[in-house]
Amino acid sequence: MVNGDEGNPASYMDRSVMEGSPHQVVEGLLIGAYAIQATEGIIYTRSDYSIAVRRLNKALQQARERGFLGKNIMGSDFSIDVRVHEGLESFINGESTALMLSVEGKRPMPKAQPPHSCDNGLWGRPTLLNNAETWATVPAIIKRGAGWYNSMGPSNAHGCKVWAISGNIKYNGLMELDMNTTFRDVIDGMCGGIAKKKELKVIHAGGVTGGFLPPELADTKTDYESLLNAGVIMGQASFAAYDNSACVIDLAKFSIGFNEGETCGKCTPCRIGLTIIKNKLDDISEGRGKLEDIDKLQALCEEINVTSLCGLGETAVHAVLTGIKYFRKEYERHIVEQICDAAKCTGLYRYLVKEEECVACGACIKPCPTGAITGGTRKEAAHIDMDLCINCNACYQACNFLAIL
Amino acid sequence: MTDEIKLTIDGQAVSAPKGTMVVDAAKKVGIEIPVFCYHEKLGPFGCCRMCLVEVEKMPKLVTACTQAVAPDMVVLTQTPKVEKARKGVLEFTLLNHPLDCPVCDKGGECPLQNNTFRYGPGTTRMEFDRAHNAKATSLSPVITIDRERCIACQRCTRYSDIIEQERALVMLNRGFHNDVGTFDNRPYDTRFSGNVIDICPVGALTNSDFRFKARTWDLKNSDTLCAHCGCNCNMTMGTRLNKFMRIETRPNNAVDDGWICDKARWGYKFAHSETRILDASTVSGGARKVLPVREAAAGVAEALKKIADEHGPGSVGFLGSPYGSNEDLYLYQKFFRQRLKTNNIDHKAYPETPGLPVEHYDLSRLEDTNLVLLIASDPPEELPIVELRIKKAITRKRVKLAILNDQTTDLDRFAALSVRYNVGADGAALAALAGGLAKELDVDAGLGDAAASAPTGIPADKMKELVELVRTSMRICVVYNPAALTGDSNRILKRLLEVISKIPTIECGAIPAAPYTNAVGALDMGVLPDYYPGGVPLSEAEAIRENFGEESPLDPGLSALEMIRKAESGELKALLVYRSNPVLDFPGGKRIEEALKKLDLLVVHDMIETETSRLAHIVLPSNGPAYDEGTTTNIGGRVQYRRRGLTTQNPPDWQIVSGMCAALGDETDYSSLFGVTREIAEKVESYAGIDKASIKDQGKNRVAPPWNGGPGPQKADASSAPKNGALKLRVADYLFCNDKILDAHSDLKHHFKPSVVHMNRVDAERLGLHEGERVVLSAEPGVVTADVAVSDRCNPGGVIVPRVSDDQGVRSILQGGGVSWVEIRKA
Repeated sequence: MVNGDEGNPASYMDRSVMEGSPHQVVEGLLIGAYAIQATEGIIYTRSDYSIAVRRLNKALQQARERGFLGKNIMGSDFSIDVRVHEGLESFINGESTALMLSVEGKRPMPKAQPPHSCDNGLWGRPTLLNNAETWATVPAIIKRGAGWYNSMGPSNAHGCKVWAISGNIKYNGLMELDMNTTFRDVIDGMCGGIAKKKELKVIHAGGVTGGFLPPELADTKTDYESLLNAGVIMGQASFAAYDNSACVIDLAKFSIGFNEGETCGKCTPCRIGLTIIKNKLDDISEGRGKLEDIDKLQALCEEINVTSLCGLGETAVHAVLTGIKYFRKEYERHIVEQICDAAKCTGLYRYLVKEEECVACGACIKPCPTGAITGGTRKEAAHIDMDLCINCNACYQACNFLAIL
Repeated sequence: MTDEIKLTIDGQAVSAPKGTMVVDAAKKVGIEIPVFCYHEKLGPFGCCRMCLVEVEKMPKLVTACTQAVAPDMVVLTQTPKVEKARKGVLEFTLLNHPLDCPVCDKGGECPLQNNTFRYGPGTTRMEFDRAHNAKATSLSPVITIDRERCIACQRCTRYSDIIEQERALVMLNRGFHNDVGTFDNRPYDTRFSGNVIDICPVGALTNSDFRFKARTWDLKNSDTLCAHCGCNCNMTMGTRLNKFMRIETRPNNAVDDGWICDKARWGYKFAHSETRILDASTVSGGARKVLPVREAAAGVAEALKKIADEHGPGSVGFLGSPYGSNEDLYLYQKFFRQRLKTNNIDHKAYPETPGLPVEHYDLSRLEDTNLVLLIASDPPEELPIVELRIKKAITRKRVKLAILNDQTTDLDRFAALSVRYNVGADGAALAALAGGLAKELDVDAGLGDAAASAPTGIPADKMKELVELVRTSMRICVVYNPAALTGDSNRILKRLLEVISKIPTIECGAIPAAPYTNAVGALDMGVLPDYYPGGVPLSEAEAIRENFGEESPLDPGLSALEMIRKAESGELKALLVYRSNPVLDFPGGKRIEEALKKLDLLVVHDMIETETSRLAHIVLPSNGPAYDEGTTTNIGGRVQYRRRGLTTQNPPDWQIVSGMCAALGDETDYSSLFGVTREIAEKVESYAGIDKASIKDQGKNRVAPPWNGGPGPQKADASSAPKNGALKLRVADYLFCNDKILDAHSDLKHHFKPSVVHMNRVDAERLGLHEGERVVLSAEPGVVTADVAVSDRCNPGGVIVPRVSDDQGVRSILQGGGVSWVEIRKA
């Protein structure tokens, strides 16, 4: 089986290979099927990858016409047919056992392993499942030999990996990297550095299930082990480099929020734990946080990491764990000083009138929906009553003299 | 499973069969690993994360419920790491769980409560807005769901998927908003829905009937048996202040595999029914007079003796019931045989003899055969637990199912082969199968000319396929319903079993699956006109005299239907009817009522007023299940002890009957019920060794009575030639029949169905009838009205009418003996 399901918002390497080179995936699958003498092949992908579905089907049709699929392939005893299974969009479908349940028409929920799917997989039969990208590398390896592939990367992780790179960098997109490459090589070298002369603040490695690295760790290599040592994972092999305009708590909220929405709800820690963490992060970003929350969050995340069933719960907490590990100061600043330096946490906005700049034009009074602004006319500087203010930002937009902070 | 694997759990050496989960292996040596989602019968799942343990050489904690034992595995269940994880998981679980234990029905027997006290943290670190949901809503008329209490362990949804195999109850929504529910919010009212109440580890699924009636620790629990069908599932009856409260499962792998059907759980309102017979009474001159029970019993004995003396022993008869316990039935036959010297003893309107030419299989054997062959049996409606066991055998043990029946059943969709014969052609179909097998084997089926009779309606290739399937199976279990076989088919069936047992490669067993509580026990206890207890035929005079006394009657007695015919002609003067209602349930209808009215003495000993008891001259009260204890033998031959849950002033049935015996000079003094059981064990070879100690928990299998050949099939009865336009009638069973047991006060009344006649499209077109039309089914004994259901449930030429209520009373229009014919016209 081919796992061509990508739920991660920042990665699209499977999509690109299925759209750009569907024959490569089919060829890889056929080689694998021949190796284990499989009789049925399934390419699982998302129904919203409509171009990929169309091109895969076309590739399969062409393969059938040329006799690479079907009965007695190329005159041998080996027969196999492959079909495309269009799954519905759900992050958890990417988990191997959930994916197989989805093909069986059941509710996709990861199963406890063992038994592994190579013993007891789809329909209770031994099943070999690999990612579309993995299958796509197979033909090249077979053609050029294992030595060629092994020559790339460090000794504990051979080969290369396609990364989806995004963030505040000049050039983003998919890049196939030797595993020896460091983040700094990529950001400063291939991607042309951080845009607009700003500085690198955080590397979000591993997508929504990954974690955050500070600039000091930008020299980390992009192989599995180095990443794990740094406290993050390769995950869906995507990373984003952000500049100072990014808030670590805001990024964590996005990751946790995504995972909380996508968790299947099978196991307790992930189902309930992620919701609690989301609520806690909301508290912090809206000024209701307490200092002890940081330690609580850390303890909670460690528990979820240890006790949850599948990779989703296990890795979803990386965003918070690495955030606290490397950016604890930022958490504390949110809680104690109630300031978000990147101005991302709207809940922490406070509106002040710079009295020396205010010309008392009265422009800010009308848009205020709660009547929190007094003065502002007859040469008296405006004053915002913070008890009434709801942080709607209307006065900020209305002020023509940048007098409201 | 012969491979034993050795491992160490908390320093203790454990040995468990391959494939055992660590949690079960630990249980063997008394180490408790807390669980919520895991259930022995549902298999590993691993969602609650409560059972995390440390295993040496494994980097992460593993769930003991999904981890199979492996050689030399070292498991630690008490380490700080494990305890921390347990505390964390419990904290998560409790965060969303309302602590309404003081008003929760589960309080006191709640795994969540217990585990929290034992392993949980004292407080929580988090304040958290609980997910709110509608509190108590109805999931079905008998089950209430409180979604706030649900901890999403998915035991109930997995039960619905794996055990019940209906997938009626499912998980809705995703993640934090997970909810248990049904498609389109329809009621969850399958035949086995109640089991989810027992397996729910919190108070999310509760018994609507039991809600707020009693705290669980105030209940008096009695380990009893279900008294509905022939499975005799084990259950626990909870009572309080001598009032019935609830039924729960009591797992017994040899019988019920841990489940009970909804009829067992909610079909117990009869214990407090308004129509219970509570007093002994006589009718003299139209007026009822209440008598002390023991006095009335002695009076009955003397009156019967007087008639027997005046008109000869052939003038009295006993009509027992497959619902009585072994002790009651044994004493009754003893009373009639030894005191009144008559063999006019029977308990049924269908032909069946004790003994099988093959092994009598236990219910658990359904799972370790290769082929289950269902003959005329409809387990979903007759023996629900057999249905579950067959489904389990098919889906998890790769057993094949073959069905030979005259109607389509719910199990057909699981069958490898389903063969349908014409209504009334059961004898011919069985003969064809036996003949086909005999031909392959080149032996004589011993059927004489019985084989060549009516057309079966089975295509030749289908029959060939069935013969092949039976012949090539290594181990086969035949399940047949003797009550659904007509005419001489029972004898043909036994010949068929003989033929199968002659196939050298086949191990064959059978389960005589009559859907009545103690149908097998009644045969074993000799409540038959031609067999003594233990399946001893009258021809073995020597053995009978030696065992049961010199003066034991040896002339064949009258069968139930013959007794009624003799009552009609005036030759039978007195009849004692025990827990039976021939007016409604026996073929003949009005004629039976007229016949019974001609008797000089009709005694009815029953627990609920019936059409028959209203005709009686003397009525004796029977306490019945829930009040009376006794042993029963289920269809798998397992003898079990049915304890009482409620108490009553009236003497139990066995005391009433032994009082009758004593009134006529029997000096045996049974000090207790088990005094009778002891006598049975002494007199009946197959019950040797059955005593209170051996059956008190899980019961014990009795040895099957010996097979002594039995009479061969006779030439097919040619008298019932088809009448013009008439169709053959088959009465099917319906589990939730609105009878005296499940009356209008029953919790299960939502299952009651209107009277329906299923007919084939061909016949409906011929008769010009349409779906839903009201018709009258008329036969010689009476009429029944029903709505037409045009379906493919039976072959053309026959109609199927499920017995849905006592008001409908479709059994009474059967003609008895052979095929029953009905004429159908628009109402």
